[in-house]
Amino acid sequence: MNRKQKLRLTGIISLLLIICAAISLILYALKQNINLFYTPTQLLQAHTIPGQIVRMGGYVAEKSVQYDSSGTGVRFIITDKKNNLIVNYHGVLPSLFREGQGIVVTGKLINPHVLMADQVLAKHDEKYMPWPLAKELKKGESNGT
Amino acid sequence: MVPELGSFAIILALCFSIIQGVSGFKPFRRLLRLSMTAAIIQFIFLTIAMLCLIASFVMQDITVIYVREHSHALLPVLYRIGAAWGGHEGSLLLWCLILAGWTVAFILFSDKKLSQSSRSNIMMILGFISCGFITFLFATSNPFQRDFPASLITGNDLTPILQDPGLIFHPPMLYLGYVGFAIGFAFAISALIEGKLNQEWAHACRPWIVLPWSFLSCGIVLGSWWAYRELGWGGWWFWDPVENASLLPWLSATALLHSLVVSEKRQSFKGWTVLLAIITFTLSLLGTFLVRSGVLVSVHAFANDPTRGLFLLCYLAVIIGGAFLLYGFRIKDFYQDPQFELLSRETFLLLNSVILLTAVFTIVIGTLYPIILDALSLGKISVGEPYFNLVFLPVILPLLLLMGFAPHVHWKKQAAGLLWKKMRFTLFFSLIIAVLVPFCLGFEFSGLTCLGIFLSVWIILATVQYAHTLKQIELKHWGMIVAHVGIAIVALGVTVNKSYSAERQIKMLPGESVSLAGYQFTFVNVDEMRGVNYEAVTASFDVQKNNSIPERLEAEQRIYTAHQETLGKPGILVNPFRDLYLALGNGFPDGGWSVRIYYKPMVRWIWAGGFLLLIGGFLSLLSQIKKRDENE
Repeated sequence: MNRKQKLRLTGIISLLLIICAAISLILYALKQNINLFYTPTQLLQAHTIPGQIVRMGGYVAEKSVQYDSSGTGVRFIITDKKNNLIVNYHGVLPSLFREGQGIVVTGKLINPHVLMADQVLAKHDEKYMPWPLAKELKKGESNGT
Repeated sequence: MVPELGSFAIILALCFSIIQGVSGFKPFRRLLRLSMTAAIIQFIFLTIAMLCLIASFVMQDITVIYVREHSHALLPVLYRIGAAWGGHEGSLLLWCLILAGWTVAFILFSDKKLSQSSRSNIMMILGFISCGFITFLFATSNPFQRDFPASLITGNDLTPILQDPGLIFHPPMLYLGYVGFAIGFAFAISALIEGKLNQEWAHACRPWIVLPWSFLSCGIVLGSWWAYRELGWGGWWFWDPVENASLLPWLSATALLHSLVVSEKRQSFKGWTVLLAIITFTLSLLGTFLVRSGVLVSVHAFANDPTRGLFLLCYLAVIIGGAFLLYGFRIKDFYQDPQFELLSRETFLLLNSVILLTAVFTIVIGTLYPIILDALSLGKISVGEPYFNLVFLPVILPLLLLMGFAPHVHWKKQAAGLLWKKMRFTLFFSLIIAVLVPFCLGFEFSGLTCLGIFLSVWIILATVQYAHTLKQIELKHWGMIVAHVGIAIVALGVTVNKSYSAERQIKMLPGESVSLAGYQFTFVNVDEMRGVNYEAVTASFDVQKNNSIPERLEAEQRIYTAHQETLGKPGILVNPFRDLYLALGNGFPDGGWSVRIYYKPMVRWIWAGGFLLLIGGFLSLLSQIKKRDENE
């Protein structure tokens, strides 16, 4: 092997090594950090285990928001109009949060009916359409009936 | 009348973009002149269209659908101007206008030594890119579309989080960046068509990469600053797909900048430079597709109204597919035997490209994976911050280590012993600082924090050492020195901010006080006020440290009247070493409020470092202009 070929071989091998390292890192990170997204009904049908981190979407049920005495612990119900999920959250809610609003929460499942949330998101797009999940939820409703 | 004028201007601009593209086909002097004139006229018409759109907003012409959906009778005039590019249609018009602007800048300021055939090719490619985008604008998203509503309505209003001075500067700055890479792309394609890439080419191309790169850096910083003030989390980067869309071209453009230096100075890395130029523009277009097609909101929303997305996707396929095909056929003409040893500056710059591209790759996967799964109906997932932190850090940290060495390494060949001898004290010294400083200041020890501080200090010291070894620091060195120090300052800011931030979420009654990171926050009172288009509750806090004179901090909770929508405006106390950030949550019947208080050390350094990149880019550009003037 002359110098040129040797150099090329080194190049190819190091490139392959880098690619392998990057891909294994990506796979590892994805495996650790993917959160599945469910609505309360889908959650009941899915095989989940307590302690699993999930993202849940639904409407905040009317008159379900209760604060504890400290004012920063809150408990509310999210619903897809068929099934409910109780959400416990400690912290300040986003300013768009209100009853009837479509929201997304991320957190740890205690059981298929109770979630300990560590993130609550409420948003809508630039045209004031509700958060796209509302569309999904409506679709689910019309399919169900 | 005004909207029709705008529509008409867009059609005329489309015609002239076709003339610009077609007359670039053959490199005759007359045709080239025709092509250039067409480009300038096209720019004028697009400017007219933009002015018409802004005029429609200012006059609140609610018969224009786009205006109706993004403006409101009560919206202040300043935000109405910003609202012109606050939505889909307007931001596409801005895209086209900025592309035409860059084309005109190319015509006026490009290097005189650039051959006529290259010029023709570049004008042709820019003409076709522009033609595609104006067609897209006019056919699927004309901002001037009108209808006449039966009843008088006041308009849908601009989303409150966009009602911020940031909206006026941030999108144009960002677009100046990533649309600008079209010129670099056109340069690359022109080199492929001609089958040659010489020093003149690399020399003429460089300013057209440096300038958009500087704007993009600044645009990203502005975006981060806006998110920090508006979203109320005290966060400055969210790994949101929209943010990733701007970071990706920045990373690959950074690789391109460095590779281009090798092409210019050493006549090497030619194929690599061309590839990076194509990838950079590809990522710009990918970003435009992600943000503008609606796939991010939901793949299903995209499927319901696929015209926009499909058009963009086909357009992307034609441009990028064509470019890569051409690249595949022509690349062998650029092949050269490597003229450098394993340890040389060339190798360092090659590693820079490889590492940055790896980072691009990991971010692209994280951004596209959920969309692809959703499109294939394999379930809805989200890939969030933890993924990106986990993959981005191990990829980017080695790059920071190499960054300190690179300027000291010789072109072609470097003796390892000499390099070690030169750098070892700097290396040890930065290591000692990284361990001692947090320890002496009484912060808790963490490996990752020390690593971050070490790398930042190392880059700064090594760069200063490099400046010291130069006999005379010329303008051309300043660009690189300032930009590298900028990166180090960003890294230092990120490290300290991530390691030592503190937060508290608590319910407070007026008169109560709470302490965080040595600061005492006292809730003084709550006041009500009225803004132009909102009603607000203002809560005042006194902040003091060790019984010093209290500073007043005011946080607002606004309710925008148009949609009865609530938006918090956090109160922020700024000094160079820390921000104190307070956001109101919700009010309680007993007069109490839930509040989030953050202590954010050195968060301003992140943006300051970003602005140093802009300055570094400008200095580098100045030195290139100066060199050109001396040569002429």
